[in-house]
Amino acid sequence: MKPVLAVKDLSVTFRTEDGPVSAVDRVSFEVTAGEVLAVVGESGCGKSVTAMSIAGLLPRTATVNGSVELDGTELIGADKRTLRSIRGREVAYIFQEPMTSLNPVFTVGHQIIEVLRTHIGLNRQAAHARAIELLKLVGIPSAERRVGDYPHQLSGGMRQRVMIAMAVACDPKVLIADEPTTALDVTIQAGILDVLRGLRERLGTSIVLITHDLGVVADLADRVAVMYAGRVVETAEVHDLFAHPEHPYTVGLLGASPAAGRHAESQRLNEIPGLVPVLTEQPDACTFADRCPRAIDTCTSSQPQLTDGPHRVACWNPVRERVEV
Amino acid sequence: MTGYALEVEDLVMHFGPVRAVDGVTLRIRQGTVVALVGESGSGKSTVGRCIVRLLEPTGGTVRLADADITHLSRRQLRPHRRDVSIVFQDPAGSLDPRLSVGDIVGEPLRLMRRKDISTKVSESLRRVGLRPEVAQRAPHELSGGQRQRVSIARALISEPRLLVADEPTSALDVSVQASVLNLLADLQRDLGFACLFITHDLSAVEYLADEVAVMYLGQLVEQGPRARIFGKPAHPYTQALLSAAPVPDPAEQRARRPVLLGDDLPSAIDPPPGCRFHTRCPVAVDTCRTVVPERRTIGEGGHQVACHLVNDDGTGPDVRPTEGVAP
Repeated sequence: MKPVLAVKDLSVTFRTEDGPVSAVDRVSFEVTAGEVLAVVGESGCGKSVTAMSIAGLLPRTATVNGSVELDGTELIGADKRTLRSIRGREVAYIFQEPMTSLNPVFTVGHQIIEVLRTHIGLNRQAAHARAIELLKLVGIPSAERRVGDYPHQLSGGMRQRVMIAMAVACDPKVLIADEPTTALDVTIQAGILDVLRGLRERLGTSIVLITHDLGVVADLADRVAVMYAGRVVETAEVHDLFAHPEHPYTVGLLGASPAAGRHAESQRLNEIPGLVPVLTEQPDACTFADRCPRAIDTCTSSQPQLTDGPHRVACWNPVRERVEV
Repeated sequence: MTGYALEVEDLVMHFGPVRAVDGVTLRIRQGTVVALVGESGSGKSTVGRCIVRLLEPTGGTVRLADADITHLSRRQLRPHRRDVSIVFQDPAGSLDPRLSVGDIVGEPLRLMRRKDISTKVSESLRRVGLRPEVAQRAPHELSGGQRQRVSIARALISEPRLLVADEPTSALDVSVQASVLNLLADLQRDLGFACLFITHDLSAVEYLADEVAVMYLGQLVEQGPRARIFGKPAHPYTQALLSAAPVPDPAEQRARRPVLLGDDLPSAIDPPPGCRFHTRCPVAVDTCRTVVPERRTIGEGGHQVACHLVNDDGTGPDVRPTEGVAP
């Protein structure tokens, strides 16, 4: 199937007072229609920068190279008009903090209606009706009344639902959800994940889910890309990744989260020693090598490339023993 | 000695009209870990702050190793300070940026006018897995995980009987979280202190706790041994909470069906009458809306629940949809 979103060799470097910092290094992935791709990694791995660079949301201190194709249209280097017509309409974002993304002085209805009038050119009445429909779609009870609420009158979960309603107002092809449930409690999170699942099923929206939470990945993703220090180190179908992780970093990450029924007496958590490096430039080596329990000589002298096939890994000494967990 | 490191009786903490904590009774036996679990706004951190007396409770009592410290003045509290320590969520915000790590870790001992502080600081740093040279460094030179180790070293240097750990791993990445959880488990086993582990992270609870207490809107709804709470949760809220936390296993997670409670949390200014959970409870009946449920013992190991619908033998409604059935 032809991908809706194709990211190829995407690199991002930031100019900072302490010199250049390489945040993303030749990242490639594809998302097909109705697919949920999870981009997973810890703080500073470049997952959010990757997401922001897709529709040109990065500040001017960022230098972006490579290619991002949305349904055949190249977005990197595209002029402002093209980007403006694509943002919100073809690619929509939802962020971690709904309160900082909503305008506190307008009702939520006003903000959704604004999106509909700007991008689709609906008249006021049609936009109002559509706004209520959208609030219903994301599971907001008594939407007719809620449409007149200000953001502060809503709970955190409701605000995130409003953000999702705004994001899907123009029926975008790709929804980029950057840690959409991280600020929410688990009972609220379950509801939001349900809404996202519903969007994919009912509207066929492709979702790029940026998260650090492996439970959320297990719940929603079809495929997973694991990032470390600006690079994709492994990508696979979700069941395959959890059952047979091949990159030592993925193995470490999976072993680090406490599983059900696991207590300190019986089973220690896996630790990954050392720290994520901050890189001024990407070395011709594996950036995980100095923390890796499986590192061999090649790892420090040559950069591993992603293999081909459905389960791809960038590692000179991947875990291939099929141990049943 | 009663064998309890901490006894909290009917604790109440109101901030003006906000009833943050409204009648919490909790005991921690020497050398055991009790997890206090709840969502944002449940009042769990306020309980922790009352116990270390950063707050003076509005009502009830806090007893530390048999001493009633509920209303002691700062001066009167001083001899009890070594008995209890606290570790906060954000290590960057709780370490004084102008002090060296050594000064931070040694501060409790200096306030107690103890001798040999630098030896003890080195010891304490080594115990949390840091090199003694780290004492010369400033907090900002350390990573988040290292800073949290410094907080733990400071908290444990006075050899407290009780450690209150308030979301100690929530601000950390998964791999760093793992090392801090392992460290807490090791230290607790080796030093034998009691611990109140305040968190919203249920997987960490299962990893670390001996007993679990579940809080909702200022009150405890259920408490008991870890295996009981995770294996046979009795209160509908506990069941919902456990069903909502996703597990990092796609096959298992997709077979689960979370109980959706709705997003609107009642306010702690005007909590619902009767059972406070009735507005979101999927099985609430008329009694729940008017009569406050009493706390009852329903099983061995002190399994207690405050719910009208749970029988005395622990049986009762299970709000969780049958697992493994597709929707």
